[in-house]
Amino acid sequence: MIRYYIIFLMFIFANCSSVMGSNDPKQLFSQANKEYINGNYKKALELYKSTLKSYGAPPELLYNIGNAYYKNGEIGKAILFLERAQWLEPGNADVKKNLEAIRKNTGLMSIEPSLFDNYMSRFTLNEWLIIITIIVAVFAILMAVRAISPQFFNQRTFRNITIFASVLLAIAICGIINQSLELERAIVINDGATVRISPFDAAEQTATLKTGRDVYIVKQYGDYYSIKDKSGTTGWVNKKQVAKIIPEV
Amino acid sequence: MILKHNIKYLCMLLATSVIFFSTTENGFAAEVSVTLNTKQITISEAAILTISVKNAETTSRPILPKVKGLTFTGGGQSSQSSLINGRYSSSIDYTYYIVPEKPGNYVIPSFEVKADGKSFTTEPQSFKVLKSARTARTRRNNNSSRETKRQYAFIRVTPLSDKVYVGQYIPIKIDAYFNQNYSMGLSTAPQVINSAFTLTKLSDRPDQTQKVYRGKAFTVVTWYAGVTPVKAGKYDFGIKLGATVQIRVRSSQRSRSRSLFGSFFDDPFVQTVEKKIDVTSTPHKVNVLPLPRQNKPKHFTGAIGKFTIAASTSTDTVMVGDPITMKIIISGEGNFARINSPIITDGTKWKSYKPNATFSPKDIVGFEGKKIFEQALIPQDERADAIPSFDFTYFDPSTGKYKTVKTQRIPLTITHGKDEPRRYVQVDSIDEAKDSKKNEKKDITDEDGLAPINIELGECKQLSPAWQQQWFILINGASLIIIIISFIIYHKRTNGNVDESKKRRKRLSRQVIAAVNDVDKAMKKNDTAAFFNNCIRAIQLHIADKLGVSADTVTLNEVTKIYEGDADKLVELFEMADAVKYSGQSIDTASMKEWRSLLDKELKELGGSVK
Repeated sequence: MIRYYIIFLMFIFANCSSVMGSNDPKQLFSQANKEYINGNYKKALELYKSTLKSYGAPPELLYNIGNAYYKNGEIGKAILFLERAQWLEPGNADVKKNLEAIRKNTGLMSIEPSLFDNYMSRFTLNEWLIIITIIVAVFAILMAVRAISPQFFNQRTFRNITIFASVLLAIAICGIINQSLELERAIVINDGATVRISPFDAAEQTATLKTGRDVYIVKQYGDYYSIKDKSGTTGWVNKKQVAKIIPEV
Repeated sequence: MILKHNIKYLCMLLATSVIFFSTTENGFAAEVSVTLNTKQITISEAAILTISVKNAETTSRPILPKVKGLTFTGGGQSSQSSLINGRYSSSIDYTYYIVPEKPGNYVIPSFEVKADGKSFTTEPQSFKVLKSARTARTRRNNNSSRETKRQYAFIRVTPLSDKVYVGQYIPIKIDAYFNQNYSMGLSTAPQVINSAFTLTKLSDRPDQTQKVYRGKAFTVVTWYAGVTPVKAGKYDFGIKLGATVQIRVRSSQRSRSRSLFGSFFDDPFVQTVEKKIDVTSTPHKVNVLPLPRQNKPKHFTGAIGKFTIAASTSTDTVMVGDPITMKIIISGEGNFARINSPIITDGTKWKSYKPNATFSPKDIVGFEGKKIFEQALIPQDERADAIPSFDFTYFDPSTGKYKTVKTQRIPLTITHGKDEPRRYVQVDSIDEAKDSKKNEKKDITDEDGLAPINIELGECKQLSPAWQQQWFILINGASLIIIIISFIIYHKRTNGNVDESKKRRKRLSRQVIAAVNDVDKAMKKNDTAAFFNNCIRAIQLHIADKLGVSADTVTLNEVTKIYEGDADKLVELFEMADAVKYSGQSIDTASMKEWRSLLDKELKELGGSVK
């Protein structure tokens, strides 16, 4: 009897440990990586998605998901997840390299940005927001010093500091306005996404968009997004065919 | 006895019933009559035709004959019965509205009405339809029917050129004018009157404006559309649409006068009926020509208009085997739907993918715009050293000739990528990948050119923008609060000093005034000592106010130092005051007045005025 009881306990313990082990995000991530290296991209994707569900969205995971989608032949979703990884970690060279490689391999055209856009896109939206935060915080400290000791700065010095901070703030605000467009950026995730002239399934088709193309969402109506892209294409696309880089909460 | 009495009443009741029913059945035969409520109406009115069937037990709704130029609509049915002096009668009235389409004399021919199994033939009814009063006044000799419709509504269309080609795409503007004096509605969308043309891209939401035309207010509904001739020949081109107008039913009682102001639709008692009308634009003869067969290029796909073509590539340097994107832009005016992508067909030098087309119209109907074709190409070897020139042929309707435009040849620099070893590292294990990533992170790529995957899971981050995150709100909120508080503190502190100095100056100023008043009082009392004391006090206070020092510190020595010999009178006053103080001498009122005026003068010279 005791023997059966011990076997039963061992069985329970083994099951528990296996269940706990499979739910550990790091273990899941490691398993997914193994599957990826072995070329089982579908299985790797499943495990990465489980990690995403249980752990959250670190840029490393989004990057791996993007790579796995590409290997699995889903170009749009690959670009989407790599773009999300880039949003979280703008300076990551691997993410940038893979995005460029995928776009190059699939013949996706990237439109040269204007000089102003080029300058403003040196920092991402969040980086511009961090810059603003630093400017405001430093200015607050200087104001506090002046309030405690009015003789610390003479009038002219403080005026110059204020002008300098205002100019920086104005540039940062321009950057934010420019980069806030990124919030509306979306990626075509289905191949041959149909662009229609109005937001109805029966509406006339005006163009098709290649998977992985960048579009900007202008507005939405029912199951459709009104989109435009940098080449000037506008129209309505079903929400299932595009996904926003920054998903709506 | 009771039975006998009851039988008597029963017999009387039976007899009455027999008499009653025998009279109703036999007394009235079925009759049919037709009446028109008026013998004359205007084109914007309707008449009422009433068919009365009297004393019939069974009847059916009569079927009216067709009369050209008249429409019989709706109407209703009413029945009534009466018992007068023991005589029972009944009638059923069928009413129809007669809506005229054009002016003229009309006769509604006799028709059959069935009642109690018999057929009754009605009398023909004649009546006259006049033009509307206003139209009649103009005495035009135009087609009366069109003129009548014109008073309700008319259409104006951008005229087509007299000569167009089959397949040509022509943008048009359709303006439908609806007279605001009538209650009107649209029943059908605009259509072409002739099947030789097709109407496409009709705007879903027409513009609506108000216009005054020949003194009448119109609601103008504007559509934009494209017209394409589909067969050759000479055809009338025009646009028609269906509309409804509410017209007044002519009352037989003329006593009800129309409102002097506003239309009759404002009068709630006027009966109206809906009239369907077709509104048609003035037809315009158009000669539709076929596309010339002579000199027709082989690769002509049906593009008609005026176009330009340009080509570009995503890069001018490419490795063999690496893709580039070719972009061809065809812009101009015409039937963009018939423009197909010029594609590279040379499979030996290039591997090409299906091009992707997007059209960006510049106007609502897509007449003007640009069509962009994007095609991914992969050079197969170093012979693919240029994107070749592409031909695009279209038919120009303004010259009536085919034209071919070409793109420029785009030279490319081909690098021999395939000969160079790929910087690809095949990893067999996680550890190996981890090590290799640490050591040669920049150089590792796989066969697709992808950097290797991450081995370690980092910290979770939020995808939302920073302004939705707590740290951003906290830091910026705290900074703003510090800025506001610091601003308030700083200004309070600096303004406090200013306020103190102001207060002191006000206080001294008040004291100067008080001292001068005391001088006047002493003068009145002829108190020499008090007079000079207060004179000196006033001057001390005044100078103290100017210098920002205490009044007691202002002595004769100070005054001479400050004014460096320019204060003779002041010195004289101070010396006189000392003399009075120590000698006890007194002076007369006249002298006091002199000293008083001197005091005023000195105070003024010192920069202040004392009232």
